[in-house]
Amino acid sequence: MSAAITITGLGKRYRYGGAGASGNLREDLTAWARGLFRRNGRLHPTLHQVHEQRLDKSPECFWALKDVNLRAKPGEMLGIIGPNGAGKSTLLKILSRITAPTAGSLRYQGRLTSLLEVGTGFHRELTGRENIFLNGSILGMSRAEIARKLDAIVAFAEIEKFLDTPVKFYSSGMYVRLAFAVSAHLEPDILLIDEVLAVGDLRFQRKCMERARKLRDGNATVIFVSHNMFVIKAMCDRVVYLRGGRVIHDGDGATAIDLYEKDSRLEIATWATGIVGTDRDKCPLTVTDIQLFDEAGQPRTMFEFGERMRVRLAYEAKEPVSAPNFCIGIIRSDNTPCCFFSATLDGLKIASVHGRGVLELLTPPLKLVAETYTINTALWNADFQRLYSAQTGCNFHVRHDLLDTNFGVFHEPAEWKML
Amino acid sequence: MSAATTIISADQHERLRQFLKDLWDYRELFWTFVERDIKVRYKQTALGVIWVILQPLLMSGAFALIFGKIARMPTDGLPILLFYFAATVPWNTFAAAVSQSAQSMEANAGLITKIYFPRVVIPGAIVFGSFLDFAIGWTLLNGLALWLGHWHWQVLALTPLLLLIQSCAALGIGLALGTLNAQYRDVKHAVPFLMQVLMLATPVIYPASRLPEIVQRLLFLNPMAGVVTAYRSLLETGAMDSALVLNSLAISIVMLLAGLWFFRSREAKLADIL
Repeated sequence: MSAAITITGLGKRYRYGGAGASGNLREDLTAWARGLFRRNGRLHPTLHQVHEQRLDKSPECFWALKDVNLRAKPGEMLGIIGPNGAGKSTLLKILSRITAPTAGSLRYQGRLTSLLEVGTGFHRELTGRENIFLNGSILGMSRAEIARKLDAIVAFAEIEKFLDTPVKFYSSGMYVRLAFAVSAHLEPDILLIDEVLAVGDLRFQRKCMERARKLRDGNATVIFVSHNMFVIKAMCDRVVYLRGGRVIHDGDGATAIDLYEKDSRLEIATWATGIVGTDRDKCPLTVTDIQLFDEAGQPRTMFEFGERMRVRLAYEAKEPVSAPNFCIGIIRSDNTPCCFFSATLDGLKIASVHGRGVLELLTPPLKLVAETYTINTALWNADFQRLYSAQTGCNFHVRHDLLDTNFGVFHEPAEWKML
Repeated sequence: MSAATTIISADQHERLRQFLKDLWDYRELFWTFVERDIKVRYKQTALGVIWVILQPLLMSGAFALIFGKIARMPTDGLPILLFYFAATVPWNTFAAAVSQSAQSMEANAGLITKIYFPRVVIPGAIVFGSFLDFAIGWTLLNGLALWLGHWHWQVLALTPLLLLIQSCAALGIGLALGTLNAQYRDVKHAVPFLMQVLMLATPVIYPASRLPEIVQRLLFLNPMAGVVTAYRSLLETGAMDSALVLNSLAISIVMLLAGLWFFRSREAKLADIL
C-alpha cells in the first residue's frame, strides 16, 4: 500500500531568541545581504556552503529536528511521544505547513487538517452562519461543500435558533460547540492532534478521540502527539519516540513508552531548572531511584482505588546535608497537582544525611480517582527555604470502575441519612 | 484538491511550484476573506457605508476650502471641489489598502501561527476589498463631474487601467510593509507618517503641472502621481498622457513584483517570528 505521508531527511534549524530575526536591524541587514548570496546559491555554491556551515556551528542555532525519516500509511494511527523540546510540536508545525523545514522534504496525499485549529479564524462580529463559512474555508473546505454540510453542522452544534446571531453574543459553550462542529465535518485524509494544545475539557478531548477513531476506521491517517501514555497505548498502532529532534524508536508502543519513561525518569523537573540547574549530578542531594510497592511489599504500578502505596526513595548526598526534608507530589496526567507529602510535615526529623541511603513512605489509602499519575520528588531543607533538587519520578495508575476525572480529583465516602 | 499530493521541501524550486498550486487551491479562501473584511468593516459602524461617501467628501471639501479658496491653489481648469475629489477618491482607497495590508500579518497572527494557507491571500483580499469603497467614491465622482459639466466617457473606459495601477502599487507596498511589520513592530508606527509623506509626494492637494520639469520627473516615479493626474486630465479634457500612465503602470508592476519577492522570501518564517 502506498504511504499517506513520506518524510525524508527532514530538519528544522531555529535560532535562539526568535527564528531568523535577531530584532537587531543592523545584524538583520547583514543577514539579508548574505541572503542575496544564498539566493544565488547556484552561482556561488561555496559562499552558500560557508554560510550554512557557519550557521551550523553557531551557538545561536540549534536543530529542533534532524534527519527525520518517517512513513505513515492510510488507516494508521501514529503516536508521537518524547520529552519536552524533543521536536514533536515542530514536526506537527512542519506537517501542517505553518513553518517550513530547513532541510529535507515531506509529501502527503490528500487533505490534511489538525484538531488544534478548532475555532481558528472565528470573527466575533460575524454571525454563526458566516463563521461556519469563514472557518470552513480556512480549514480547506470548498464553499459548495460547506453549503452541503451546513444543516448537519448546525444540528451538531445545536445552535439552530442563533444561526444568524453574531457569535459575540454566544455563550462560551455554544461557541466551542460550533467551532468543534465545523471541524468535525471535515473529512481529512490526514488528521493531526496535538493534545497539549487541545485546551478543551476532558469531555471535549474524549469527543476528539472518538472522531479520530472514526476517521481512522474510514482509512484516514491520524497523527497523535500526547504526553498521556494511557491514551497513546489505547489509541495508537505505532509509536514514534523523539528525543533531541531525532527519531529514537519507531515501532511498537510498549517499547516507545518504556524508552520515554526511562528517559524522563528522575530528570530535573522543568520548574526547578532555574533554581538547581539541569544537571542532577551537580545537586548536593538527589534521588537516585524511585520504586513503588503495594502495602505487602510487592512491586506495582497499578493500584486499586483505596489501596495504600509504598514509595521507596534511594538518595545520594554528595556533601553532608543537615535536616533534609524529603517531599513527594502526586501529579495527574493533565498536570493537576493532587497531593503532597513532606517528611518534615509528617513528623520525620532527619538530623543529617551523607552518602547513599534509602527512605520509604507509606501513603494513606489512595482516594484519587482512576487516572494516570506521576510522582515527583522535591528535596528541601526543613523550612522550605532551600531546594536541593526536584525531579520527575515515575508513573502509577489508579483503577476504579466508576470514578474517573469526570467526578473530581478524589473521592471520600460521606455520611447520608434520610431526614 | 482532495486526492492531490502536497510536497513540502526545503528546495526553492519545489516551493515555487507548490506556491502556485496553493494559490489556485485556496482561491475560494480569497473570496471568503474579501467577504469577511467588508462585512466586518461595516458591521461595527453606526453609519456604515455612509462613511465611504462622507470621508472623501469632507476631505475634498476641506482641501477645497483651505487650498482652493484661501491659498488660491490653481486647479488645472477644473472646478475646485472636483479637482480635489478626483484625487481623494483614489488616494483614500490606496492609503487605506496600504495601511491595512501593512498591519495584516500582525492582525491575522492567530491564523498564521495555527494553520497554513498562502499568506498573500490576506493582503490580496484587503486590496480587492478596497474596490468597494473605491466604487462608491468613484460613482460619486462621476455624479459630481456630470453635475458640474466636466464628465467625459473616457473616464469610464480608462478607470480599470488606473485602478490596476493603484492596486499593484498598493499590494506591492502593503506586502513589503506587512512582512517588515511582522518582524519589526516599529513599522506600524511609521506607516501613518509614511502615508502622509506619500500623500505629499502625490499631487493630491496641488496640481502636478505647477512643479518644475525636473521635480515632475521625480514625482512620477510614484505611480499614484500618474493615477491622480490621469483622473484630473480625463475629467478636464477626456484625454490623458498615455506615456505617463504606461510609465506608472510599469513602475507599479515592478513594485508588485518586488513586494511579492520580498514577501515570498520571508513568508515561510512568518509563523516563527509573529
